Amino acid sequence: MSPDALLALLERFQAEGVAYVLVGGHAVRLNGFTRNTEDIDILLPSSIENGKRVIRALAFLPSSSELQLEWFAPTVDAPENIRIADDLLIDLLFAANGQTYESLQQHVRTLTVDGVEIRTLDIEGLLKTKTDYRDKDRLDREVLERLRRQL
Amino acid sequence: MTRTVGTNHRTEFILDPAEAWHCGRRLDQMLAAARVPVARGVQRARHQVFNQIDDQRQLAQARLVNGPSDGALVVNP
Repeated sequence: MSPDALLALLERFQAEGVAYVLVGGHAVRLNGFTRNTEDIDILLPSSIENGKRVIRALAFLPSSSELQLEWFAPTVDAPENIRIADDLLIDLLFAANGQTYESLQQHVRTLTVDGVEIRTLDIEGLLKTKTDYRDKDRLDREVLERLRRQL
Repeated sequence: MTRTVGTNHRTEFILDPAEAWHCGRRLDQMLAAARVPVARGVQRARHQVFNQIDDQRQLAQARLVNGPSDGALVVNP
């Protein structure tokens, strides 16, 4: 297991075969912009089977015992996300700015850090997950667009 | 005019993902002690609700640094 708690989490995801994409601040960092972030944003497909894998992968966190499998099922209405506040602060998202795991597939990139595979988004995909009304998102947008122009 | 000494190459962006990851995680370690604690447990809500909670935490964080003080800030002593 990696000594980095977040990499260790992603190793667990890989070992359990979890379908996920790392989005949010950590994904912004991987694309070149190092900024502060407090939580770990994980985008998931709505799926009971994947939910079982996620719950197994998170079993090392005491709070994960509160997770309900039915929360991972597809819904007709806008999905509710899940926050796990424990040694790690993890947001399990089923949608980010209207984008889903499925809609972002063409933007998924797999990177390797310290031998651990990380499934994350390219700049184009990240921009789709950022709103145009939140200050934090607007800042990310501005920097990501500047980075994209330099590619 | 900018005068530069030393050889540390500084760029605005870190384009190597592994280097960017490590740099970000070092930043996390440095800021960990200064963060406003979050109550442990599991919550379920729409994205906008979590955004509101995060904004409130951000404000609490700003108040820690900008509130009345004698100039010395001790976080999580």
